[in-house]
Amino acid sequence: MSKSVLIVDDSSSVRTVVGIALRGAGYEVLEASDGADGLRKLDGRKVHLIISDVNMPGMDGLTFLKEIKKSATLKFIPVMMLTTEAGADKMAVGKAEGARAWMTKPFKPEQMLAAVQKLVLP
Amino acid sequence: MDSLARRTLHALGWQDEAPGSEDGHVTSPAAQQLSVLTGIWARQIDAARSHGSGSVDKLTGLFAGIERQLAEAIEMTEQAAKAMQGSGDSGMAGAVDVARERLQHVMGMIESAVASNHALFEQVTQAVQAVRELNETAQSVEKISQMTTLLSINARIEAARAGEAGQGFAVVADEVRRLAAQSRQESQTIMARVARIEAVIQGTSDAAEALKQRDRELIERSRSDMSGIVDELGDSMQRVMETSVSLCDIGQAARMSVTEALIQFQFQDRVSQRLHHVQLSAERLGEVLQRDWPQAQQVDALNANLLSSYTMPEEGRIHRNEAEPDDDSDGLVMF
Repeated sequence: MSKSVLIVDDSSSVRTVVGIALRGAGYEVLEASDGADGLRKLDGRKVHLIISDVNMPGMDGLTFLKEIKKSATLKFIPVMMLTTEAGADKMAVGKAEGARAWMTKPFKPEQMLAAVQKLVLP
Repeated sequence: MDSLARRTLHALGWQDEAPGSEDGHVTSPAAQQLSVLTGIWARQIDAARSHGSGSVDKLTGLFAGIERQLAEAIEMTEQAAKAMQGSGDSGMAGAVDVARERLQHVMGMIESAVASNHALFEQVTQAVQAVRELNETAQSVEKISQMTTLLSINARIEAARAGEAGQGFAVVADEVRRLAAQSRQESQTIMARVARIEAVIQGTSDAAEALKQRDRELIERSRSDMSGIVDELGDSMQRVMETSVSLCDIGQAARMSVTEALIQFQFQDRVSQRLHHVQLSAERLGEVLQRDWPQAQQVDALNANLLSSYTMPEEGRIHRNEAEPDDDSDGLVMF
């Protein structure tokens, strides 16, 4: 059975590009347009990894990350932030909240896939 | 009015209607107008950002559709090529071998049927030989009758020489001569009939020989034609397979190009964020201008606010008018 990855990003073009890279590597992909949508998509569904943007309208990525880590059922899912945000302070917040990796856009698909491979739940 | 506001107004070709209001306490109509203008800037930037994002989203969707279609086409072509390359009877070589085997089987059946006909022809040839032998027998009978006639003549002469005592023998000799003549006539009749039969059978034999020759030629030509057809079929399938492989390669190259184009579309996210930061700054300036011309500290605050809103290092560099560094970072930090 293929591993599933949830992509949370307000940009549909970014979701499309990430999705193509992941599907091409054999992953099943779910998409959400912001943190709140991401939580809805995760309701009762197991995913093996979450890739989330930081700056999004509605629920932003760091708030979404906090919500994930507060949930008993979701907190073990690894989260990788994929964002244009390159500030050390934001990155430190992400790390403190439990993000496992921080990747700045624009990303290289092969590099993202290598990180996904390292992080995805067995 | 501070120097920044003055320079801005001058650049726009406007004149401040309250030149004496250097201390900034008087709300200038020009400041109001400039506030309206910043609102226009913000709306235009927002519209450009929305338009760009919408268009890139549509383009990304279209390219993603092309990528999916290419992937499906490649998969179907690869499956077809694999089916042709497959092992056993399912593969191209296997199918050609099966076709060749079946054709050989058909040729074997034809050859067997022709061989049966040839056996019949052989019997006709044997009949010719039998008729010839019959003719020879008839000729022998004729010769015997000739000799018998000569013998009867000699017997008649000897009977005449014997006089009275040979009269009875003379009668026998005459009768023998008559029978010999009759026998000769019958043997000639037989020879004539045998000659007619021989002619008919010989004609049949000649026709059979011609048929044998024609059969041999037809079988040879059929074998050659069928072999050629199977070879052409094999060649055609080989060409189809090679074309399939080429199509797969071309499709893969096109898919990679489309994927690369999609990756390049990531610029929109960065452009959108940058425009959004400028838009927010213009809106903040407008809010300040609605109250009055900004003081130097307010301009500094606007500047600092814009700087703090940046998410990308290059925004800060451009803001500070710094040179772009050689970026050798891989953009990934694992915690």
